[in-house]
Amino acid sequence: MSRKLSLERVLFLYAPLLFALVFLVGPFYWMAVTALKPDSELYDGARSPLFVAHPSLEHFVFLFQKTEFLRWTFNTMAVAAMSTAIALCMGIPAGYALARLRFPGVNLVGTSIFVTYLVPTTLLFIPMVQIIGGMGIDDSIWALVLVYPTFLVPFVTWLMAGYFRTIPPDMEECARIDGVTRLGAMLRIAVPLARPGILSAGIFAFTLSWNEFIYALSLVTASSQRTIPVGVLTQLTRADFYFWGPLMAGALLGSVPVAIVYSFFVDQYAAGLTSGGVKG
Amino acid sequence: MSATTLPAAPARPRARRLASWLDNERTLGLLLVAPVVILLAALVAYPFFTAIRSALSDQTLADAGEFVGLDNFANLFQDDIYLRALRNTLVYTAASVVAKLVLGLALALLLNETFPFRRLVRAAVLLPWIVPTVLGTMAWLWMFNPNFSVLNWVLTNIFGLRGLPWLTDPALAMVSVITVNVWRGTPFLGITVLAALQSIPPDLYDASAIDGANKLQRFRYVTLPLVMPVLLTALVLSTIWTFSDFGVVYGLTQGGPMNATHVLATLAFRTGLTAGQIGEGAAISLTMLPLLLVLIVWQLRRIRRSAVA
Amino acid sequence: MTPPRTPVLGRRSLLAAGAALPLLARPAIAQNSLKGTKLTILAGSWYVPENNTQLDQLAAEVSKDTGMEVRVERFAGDELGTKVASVIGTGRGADLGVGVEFDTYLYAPKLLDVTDLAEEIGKQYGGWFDVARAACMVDGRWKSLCIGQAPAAWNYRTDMFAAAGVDKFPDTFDELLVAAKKLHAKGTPIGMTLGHASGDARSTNYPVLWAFGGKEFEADGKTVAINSPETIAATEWYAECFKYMDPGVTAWLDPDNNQAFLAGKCSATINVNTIYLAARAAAPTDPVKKNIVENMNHGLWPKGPAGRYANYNINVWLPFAASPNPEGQKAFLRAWYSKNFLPNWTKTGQSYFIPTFAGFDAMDVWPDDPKLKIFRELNKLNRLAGYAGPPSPAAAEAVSKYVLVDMFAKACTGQMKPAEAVKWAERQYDQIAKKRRA
Repeated sequence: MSRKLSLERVLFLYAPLLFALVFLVGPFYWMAVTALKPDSELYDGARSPLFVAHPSLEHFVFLFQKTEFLRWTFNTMAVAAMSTAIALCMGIPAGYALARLRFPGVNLVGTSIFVTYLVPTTLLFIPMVQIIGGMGIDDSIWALVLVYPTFLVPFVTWLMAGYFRTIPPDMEECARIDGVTRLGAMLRIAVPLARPGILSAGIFAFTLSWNEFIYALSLVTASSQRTIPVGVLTQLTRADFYFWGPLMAGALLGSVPVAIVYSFFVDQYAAGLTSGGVKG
Repeated sequence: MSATTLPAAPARPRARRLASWLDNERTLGLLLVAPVVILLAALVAYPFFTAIRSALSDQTLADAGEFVGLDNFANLFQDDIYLRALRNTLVYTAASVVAKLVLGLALALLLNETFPFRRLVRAAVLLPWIVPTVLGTMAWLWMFNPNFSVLNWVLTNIFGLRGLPWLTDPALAMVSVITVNVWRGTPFLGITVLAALQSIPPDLYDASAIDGANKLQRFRYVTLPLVMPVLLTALVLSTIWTFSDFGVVYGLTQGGPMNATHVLATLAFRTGLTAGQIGEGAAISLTMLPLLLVLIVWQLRRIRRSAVA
Repeated sequence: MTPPRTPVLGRRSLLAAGAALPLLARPAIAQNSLKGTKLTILAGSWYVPENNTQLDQLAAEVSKDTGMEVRVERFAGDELGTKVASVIGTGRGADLGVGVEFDTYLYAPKLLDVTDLAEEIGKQYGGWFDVARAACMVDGRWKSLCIGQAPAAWNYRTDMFAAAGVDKFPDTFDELLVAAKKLHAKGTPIGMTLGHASGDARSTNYPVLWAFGGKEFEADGKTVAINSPETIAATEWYAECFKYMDPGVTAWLDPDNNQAFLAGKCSATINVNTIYLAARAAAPTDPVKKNIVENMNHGLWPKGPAGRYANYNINVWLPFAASPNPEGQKAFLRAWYSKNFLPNWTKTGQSYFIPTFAGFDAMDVWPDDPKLKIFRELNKLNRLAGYAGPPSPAAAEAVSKYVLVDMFAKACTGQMKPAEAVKWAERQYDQIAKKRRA
């Protein structure tokens, strides 16, 4: 590939790339600009809104001193990490079983698991809150840790079943001949081979929990137990007034750290969604 | 070897029996799916049937209500607002998914090239997918703000055009809502397809180059068929996520102006919770399921056919 | 209604233990039996920050006096409603909550009967306004207690009005239309919220309907009465006036009219006094805001053919019936309405939120700022959505579906003729009412 700056490269690579960056990352620039502007500048129609004249950290200070933002960040991370772990622990074996083992009802189970993923949250959340309330763990992040796997597990199972189907069964069969149990073949051979698929499933599951809003709002009351989306939205508006500065600061801090973590995976992130996925 | 996973020696014969029982394909299969089935039965199936029962009643938040048969559904199909939301949902899903597919594929092709700061760019374009939906939507709400819209500032002060009524005009509001959804979803498709692109062995391209294929032909006959399965899987996921998306409309317009952007998810939420009509709200949500099922089955069928071909 | 942290010792045994302990508490609200219990309060954020702090302080005081652990949890805007609904639906999450005017009717079976308390408090302050009765009583029983209302006034720019040749705020709808034309010609249009804004859309649009004599329901709250010559007249007036408004109004959400007005893009709008309070707070350091403060004032709704009406957001205390701590609920409510607290809270609130007691008129609870004087009069004007019926679930559903707002908006944007828009609204109302009759 030639590296010189030909017209072709500008036209077909750099120009569209610039467009993509402006569309995808532009709003984050705007969040940053808003978060760094003092209020007097924020609502000043006379100045160019695209740049910050007098950058100030007042909105960030507000976020950390006047709200429990750090706590919310911790909660969001804890909930996302734990529910992702649960979803993987349940979904990987189930995905393996659906892909490799013949047992009564395998098709029915596979189809039902996929269909549960289609049931809309708006239908489930009222009865769900009642059930969780009955268990007495409402109003804490544990309620979320229990509920999030309900939408993560079907998804992880489906992805993993697809991924396992793309791995040739030969190695597991060889191991079986050597006297390894089925469980052993799964744990020692198939699972390590499925690492890229597990990585993608994990990333998706983490992102889905990071994002969740309806359950986090209806299941949790205490401010100290809220997640970032709910905390920021419920405590940074007052009557008919939005605190745009802290809101944008919160949105920024609620996404950039995760993006940095993900950037380490981007290169390793191999095809977790492969051709097998669609047969699930 | 099997014994290593099992405890102490005294129980050896029993352990062996247990081991062989465990090694049975049927037993192991059922055991492995059991936790998932139990979880979903308790926390999805049970609320699901409770919700069906409410959909067949005139239950409200304060009152258990009575069985009314299919009245809720019959009412819905005469309700302009419901029909509008239904149409909006289909438009919203179709337009967003198609746009995400095209832009995602283009993004993947771009990111597959070599250019300076590629790693940084790849991480940066993921941002819209990572930011929690309601917060990303708040940023757009601020950009669409009727009084302080930065988009309008750019349009008027840089391009000399007139500002647009982003969320005011019913048709444009729909476009705005779709834009935000596309913004959120494109990185997912882009990165996923990129992963597939990178798994294409380079010798395939070399072979086609020797055969004298040009860039377009290489894309059409080598790249596209190889990424197609991944693209289609991503399409299924994207369809599910878009169809049941709630955050974008909730955050941007609450369904307005004049219900022009109400989708089934926001209407169900508003009816069931804000207006307290649990029964009717459940009925609205319930009508989403067969629609989504039809959409997905149709897509899976097409995928399977293309996989065979 | 947080679950007890000590599963072995149930609430009852804690109560008994509490009763046995000697207590040194102020006599006013000392209730030995409350020691060790818990009370979770769901609150929003009132605009005047000190009002929120006062609630926190009161919670701390009640905790100290009674030994009951009072906790205030805040949710803003639409999320508070979602939270209240979820507590009602599941019976879990809180003991007391801040609700709005429809919540009492919507949730009556799941609310505690507080009739005795309401009457005791009413006497203390010279009686409740009718609007409090309308909002809090269902079938003759008090199921909630009115916290107060946030009167919405016409906020207008005196300088822009003068520049357009309008020397005083219009007193009739005809005059308002004339003024709108003149202001539009000067490039400083008025703006009335026609978007799906949960607060402003209501306080802006219902008064127009009533001023022309239109109504949604008959007094039975069931018969739909929207399709009338009066409603059509109101819609026609609106469609005409819209031509001279900021065209952005059909997308305005609650904060948008504030911003437009503060940015000098809008010469008049209907809003609570938050625009003025925000500008006044910023005025010392911000010359733009200082200019606005000096050149704005508040006006009453103009009179229509049928009179002068207004519609305000109301807040009520909802005592959730599922709470295991009814004595705690009452103890807190008594403290809230005590003479030590409520008048002071009201005065601090700068007439942003005003309790609905006749006796307040003569009390020292009004702001000293002359530009806020009019709110004392506005406090007497409120009428609730659903008129001539009660603020029933049907009326609430119509509000939540923005039927009336969209009726006006459809006529204003030319999507429908006024009469067609009214017919459209009638169909919506019929459908809403039909569900309730079945």
